[in-house]
Amino acid sequence: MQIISLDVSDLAPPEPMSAILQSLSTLAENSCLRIKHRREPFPLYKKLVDAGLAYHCEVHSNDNITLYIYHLRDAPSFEQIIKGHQGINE
Amino acid sequence: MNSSGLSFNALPPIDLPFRFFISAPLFVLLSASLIFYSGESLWLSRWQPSMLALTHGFTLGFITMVMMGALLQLLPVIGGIGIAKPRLIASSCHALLVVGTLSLIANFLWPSTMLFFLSVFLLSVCFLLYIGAVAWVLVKKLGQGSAITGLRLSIFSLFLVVIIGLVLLSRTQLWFLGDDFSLLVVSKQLTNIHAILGLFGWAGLLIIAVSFQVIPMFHVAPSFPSNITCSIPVAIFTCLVVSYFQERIALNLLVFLHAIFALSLLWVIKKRKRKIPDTSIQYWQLSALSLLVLTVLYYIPNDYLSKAILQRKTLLLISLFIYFYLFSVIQGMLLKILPFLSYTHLQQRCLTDFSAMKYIPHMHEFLNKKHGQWLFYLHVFSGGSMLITIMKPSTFWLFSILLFIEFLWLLFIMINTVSLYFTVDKRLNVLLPINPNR
Repeated sequence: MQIISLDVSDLAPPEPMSAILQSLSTLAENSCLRIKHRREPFPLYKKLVDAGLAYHCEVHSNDNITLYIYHLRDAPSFEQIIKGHQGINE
Repeated sequence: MNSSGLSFNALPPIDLPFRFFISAPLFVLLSASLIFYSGESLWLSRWQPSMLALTHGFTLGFITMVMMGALLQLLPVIGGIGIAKPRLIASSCHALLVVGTLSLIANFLWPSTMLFFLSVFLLSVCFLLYIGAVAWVLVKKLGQGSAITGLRLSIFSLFLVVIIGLVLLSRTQLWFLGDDFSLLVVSKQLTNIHAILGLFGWAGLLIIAVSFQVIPMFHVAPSFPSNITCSIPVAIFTCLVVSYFQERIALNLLVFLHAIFALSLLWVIKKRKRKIPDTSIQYWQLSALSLLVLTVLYYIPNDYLSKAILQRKTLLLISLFIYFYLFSVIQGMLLKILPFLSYTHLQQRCLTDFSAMKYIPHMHEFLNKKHGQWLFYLHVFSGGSMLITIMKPSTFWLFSILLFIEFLWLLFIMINTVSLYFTVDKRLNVLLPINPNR
C-alpha cells in the first residue's frame, strides 16, 4: 500500500480541510493518506464513511494526531500494515 | 488512543445555529430602544425594573442566545458528538427562548400574572430541554478533553442559574402561598448568587473552556499551559460554590482567577504562529485587557477612589465584565465562526465531487474583513459611551444610539453571510446529489 503524507498542523481553518479534500480527490486505489494534524476533525468522519472511505486515528498528545484515510475496499491491506507496525513509518 | 471505532456525528444543519445568531442582535436593538425610552432613571440603581429588563435583554437575549447556538456546533467539533434530534431540540429551544425572554422583559416592565406564568413556563421548558440534551452528550466519554470539563461545569452552572432565577421570579408573584413560602424568600444575597453563577459560571466558564480549543485552532497558537486548562475551570466552579457561604471571599478569588486567565490568553495570542491582522484577535485582546482593568478597579482600596466612582463601582464592574469582556469575546467569535461554518458546511458537501469546490467563494467573501473592523470600532465607541453614561446618566441617549448602530451593523454582517451561504448552497443542490441526512 502506498502511503501519501500530508502535514496540516501549521494551517489555520479551513485550510486543513481544503488540503485534505484536495488530496482525497486524487487518492488512488491501494493508497492511504497519512495526515499530521493538531486535532481530530470529528465532523469529517461521518462524511468520509458516507463517501466510501475509512479512517484510523492515532492520538499522540493533545495537539498531535495522525489520521489515516483510505478506500473502504483497501481495508484488509491497511489492517495488515497496522498489525505489522506500531503505527506506520514512512 | 484510537478513535476509529467510535461513532461520530456530522455537524448539525447550519440553519440551526444561524437562527440563534440572527435573533441575538435583535434583543440588543430592543435593549437599546429600552435605554433610549427609559431615560436617566434607568441608571439610578441595578434594582430598577427597567435595569433588570435591560440586564436580561443582554444576558438572555444576546449572550445566552449566541452561546446556545454556538454550543450546538462546538460539541461535535470539540467532543465528536452532537445532541440527539438536533432539529427538534434546537428549533424548540430557540422559539421558547425568544418568546420566554420577551415575556420576562415585559414582566419586569409591566408586571402581570399572565406574563409571569408565561415567562416561567417558556424559560423552564426551554432550559430543561436544552440542558438535558447537552448533558446527554457531556456525560459520555468525549475526545479532546481539556475543554470538556469546563463545558460540563458551565452547563451545571446554567442549571443552577435557572433554578435560582425561577425562585427569584416566583418570590415576586407567589405571595399567596403565605408564610411557608418565606422559606424560599430570598434576599439580595440570592440575587447576587444568581448573577455570579450566570456571569462567571454559565457565560464565563463556557468562554474559558471554548477559548482553550478555538484560540490554538483558529490562530495556530500554542495550547494553553496544561496547569491553566486543568485548574482554572475547577477553581472557578469551586469559588462559585463557596460564593453561597462566603460571597466576598469567593468574588475576590473569582476576579483573581479571571486575571490569570486574561494573562494566559494574552500570552497564547502573543505566541501565535500567524501574526496576520485579525479583528477577532483584537476582540480577544480587548476582552483580556478589560478583565485586567476590572481586576485593578476591583482591588483598588475604596479610599483611593473618588466618591463618584465609588458610588458607581458595582455597576462599572458588571458593565466591564458584560460589555467589554463577554460581548467582546462573543462578537469576535461570531466574526470567526460565521464565515468558517458557512465555508465548512459547503466544503464538506464537495467530498463526493471535489470539482464543485470551485463554486464555493473564498472564506473571506463570507464576511468582509473591513466590515468586521468597523464593528470592532463601533463596539469600542459604544462601550466608551456606556462607561460615560454610568458616570453621567444624562448621556444615555448617546449610548443607546451607538448601541443601536453597532448591533444593526452586526445584524447586517450576519444577514450578508447567511444569504451568501444559502445562495451557494442552492447552486450546489443543482450540481450535487442532495443528502437527506445533511
